Amino acid sequence: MFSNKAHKFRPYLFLLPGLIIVACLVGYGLFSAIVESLSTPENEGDFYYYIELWQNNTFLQALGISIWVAAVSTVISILVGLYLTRTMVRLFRKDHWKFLAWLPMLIPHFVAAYLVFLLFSPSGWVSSMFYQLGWIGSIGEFPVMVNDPFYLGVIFTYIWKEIPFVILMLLPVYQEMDLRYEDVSRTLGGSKWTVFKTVEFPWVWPVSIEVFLILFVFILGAFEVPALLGVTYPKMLPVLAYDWFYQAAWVNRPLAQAMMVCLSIVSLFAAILILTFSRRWRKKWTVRREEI
Amino acid sequence: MNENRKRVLLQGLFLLLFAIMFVIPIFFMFAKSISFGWQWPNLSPSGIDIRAWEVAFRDPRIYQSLINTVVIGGAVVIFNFLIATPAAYSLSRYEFKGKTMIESLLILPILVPVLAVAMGLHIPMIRLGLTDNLSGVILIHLLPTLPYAIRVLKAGFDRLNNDWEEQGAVLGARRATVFWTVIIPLMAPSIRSAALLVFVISLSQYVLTAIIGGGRVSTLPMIYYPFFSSADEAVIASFTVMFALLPVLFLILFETVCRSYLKILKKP
Amino acid sequence: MKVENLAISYNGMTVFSDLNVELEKGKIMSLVGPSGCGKTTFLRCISGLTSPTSGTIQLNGCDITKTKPEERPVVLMFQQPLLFPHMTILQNVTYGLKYGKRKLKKKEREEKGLAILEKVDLGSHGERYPHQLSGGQQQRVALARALIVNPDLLLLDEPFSSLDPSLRSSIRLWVKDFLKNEGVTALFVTHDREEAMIIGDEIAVMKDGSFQQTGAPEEVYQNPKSSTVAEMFSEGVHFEESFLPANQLTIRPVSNLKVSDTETIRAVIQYKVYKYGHSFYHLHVPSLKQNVVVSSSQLFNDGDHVDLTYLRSSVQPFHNEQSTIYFTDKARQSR
Repeated sequence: MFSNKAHKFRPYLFLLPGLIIVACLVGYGLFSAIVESLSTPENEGDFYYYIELWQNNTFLQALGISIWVAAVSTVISILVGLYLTRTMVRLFRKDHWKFLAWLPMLIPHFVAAYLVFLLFSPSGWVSSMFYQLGWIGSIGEFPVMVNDPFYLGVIFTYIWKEIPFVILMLLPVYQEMDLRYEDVSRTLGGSKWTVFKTVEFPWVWPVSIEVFLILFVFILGAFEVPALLGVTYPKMLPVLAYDWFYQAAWVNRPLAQAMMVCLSIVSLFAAILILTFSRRWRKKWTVRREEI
Repeated sequence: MNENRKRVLLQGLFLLLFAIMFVIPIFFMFAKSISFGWQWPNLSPSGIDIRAWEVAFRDPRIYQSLINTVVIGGAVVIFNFLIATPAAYSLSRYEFKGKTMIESLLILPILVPVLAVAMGLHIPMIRLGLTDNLSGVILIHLLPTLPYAIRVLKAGFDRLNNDWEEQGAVLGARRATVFWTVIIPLMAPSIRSAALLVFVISLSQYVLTAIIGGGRVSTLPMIYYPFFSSADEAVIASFTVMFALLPVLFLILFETVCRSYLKILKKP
Repeated sequence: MKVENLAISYNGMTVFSDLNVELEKGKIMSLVGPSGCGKTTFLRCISGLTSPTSGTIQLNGCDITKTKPEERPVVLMFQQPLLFPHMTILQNVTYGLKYGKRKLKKKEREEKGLAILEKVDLGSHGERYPHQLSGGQQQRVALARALIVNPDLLLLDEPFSSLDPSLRSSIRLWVKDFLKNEGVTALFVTHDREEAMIIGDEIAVMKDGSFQQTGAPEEVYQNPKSSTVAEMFSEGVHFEESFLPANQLTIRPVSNLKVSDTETIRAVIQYKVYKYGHSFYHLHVPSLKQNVVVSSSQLFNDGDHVDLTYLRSSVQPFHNEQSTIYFTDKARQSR
């Protein structure tokens, strides 16, 4: 239907506004961030702020804690999300069940952060309950789980918010996957694990790794939750960058820019790597499916 | 029989888990906002009080930010549709050179930290006069929302068979007419999901609004953050409930618009 | 309708080439062929949904090859009814009058819609929604929706294939009568031989992207022009250069008796069915690797070896060794 020559440019025309917005905002934003970060004070060499950044202990601590939070929250969310999707896939076929998975998506991240605070802070409800049960004797005995140096509160929040996201991303994959393959494999005598490995994994793997990437990058760069539930030292990267960005007289701005540029470059690199991989995987497996 | 019972059990377990994880906390928050003297280590409040809501609604800043939030959210949703619908349609219906590349480019904003982009754009946008006002904030909110809007709408178009468009065409309706009278109504579920998602993402932005709005554009998150460190828990709770209610109100409004669109469609 | 030298290739693969066909106004042509022979693509070409690589399509003397699908006076009915689920039946039926080229006022539109719904025996269902109707009713609504715009040509792409068999046989007769009463020119695609014969005034047999033979059902059935057509459309056995209709065959017990003017072939009885008050034997002819059904009042058992005898004069040689199209000669003459 679209073989007509007049239509040749139509798809590009349709994509143009989106591409312009993305290219202008992302492209120009990163470009000017790079330009600012490459500025050098007098009497200093090139890449001054980058060298400065990687020798800065505050930054290194922030990097460590950010990677810890992002990795732990992402891995747990994906594992739990995957498990729930697997067991519930037949259920989620019905719209009202899918709606349930949708509901938590409607809650902003900082609202989730507040809920975690209300429940798990030393003066929170869980602490009260422990006291009533006689498990703790005073407020001070409740373990610090919010605004704590290990960022447990932040991790809780992210897990709570991202599990529904993982489910909604994986659900189409499971719905597309012909569940009869599973039955076939099982009637042929495959164990549950073999079934997972041979039937589901090839479908789920590329999407899971994409979801991992999206969540990991998001958590590394998101300011909202750690700003509420974090501690002053070590800060997570975005909070630190924001601080430096607005510090008196903007002196630390190039440093903040340099930090975010590094983060962007790593994210982009990971994205290219993972997307190419997952595409290749997907192609390989769709070909195999067709052979079957 | 056994399978069936297992399934029922599983459903029940899932519902219970869902309730514990998501429903109870929200009710808990609501209770907190209308409670009085709910201090550690009490498990329930000692009385009911709507003082917090009065405080919240008497504050003129809150009123203004509420309006700002809704205006920005609404505008972001509209712009997202204007940009994402043709893009998603194109990605779903056409085969062309560079499609994979373009598709990857369009999800770039969620693969790069938005903070980096916003900080980089700060000075250029000051020069363009796009800071400290609504238009700049709306523009920057497109960044974290557009990839999701395109993704959801593309999935919607993918699900919809091309036959519908062809059926409309052979009956003599022009392509644009078919799009508005058949495709859009059939796409309603996807459109609803996209709108809601975009609205919520826009509603959740603090740092983008703070940088580009420069503190002049006050949205609800802008006053929520300072409030968070204040001691008045009931007020924060009432505030939080407001955040949870806004998407619901938006959904109701959106449904009304959808319904009236269908009604108009049915009129001559 | 007239199609000349129509060809389409896709990614270097030829779907069909050099199709020539003509159809008189008010006639219905059935297009029979196995799946994947290009018949659906042919319909899409005529409706304008796919553009041909070369060739022309004419309708009432006008060249419509380059006309957009929405501007062609041609309506295509798909395999599925594809009723718009968010509209009532009446709104579905009047869709073409509301948004199409010939727009009508609301009142006229609804009058016409109700009138045509009455004709398809669904007069009282106008306010219902598609999901409240059965499959057969939905297909009838789709037919009404297609015919309300008075198309010069109606294309039907296996419209009954989604219905169950019992419904199918009743609705196809109904559709045939309906189309005839309305005087619609139609092109009907099917893979079912019986269906093609019931609906079509003419039959076009298609295989591997070309028309093997066109003509009246009886003619194609009785006088296939090639072994391909014989195999696909006729009943009987075919030799390399000739065809032998099944009704010319007689089953006899095996014997070496030779009668002048007759020939004999060996066959094995596979099974027997009773139909229309007669008994029919399904036979396998090992020497030709073909199956044939022959009626006989004599009694044989499954697995019996028998002789099939026929008069030498009843063998019909194929007229052309190559499968040329019936209408090409006519087209040449008119030029």
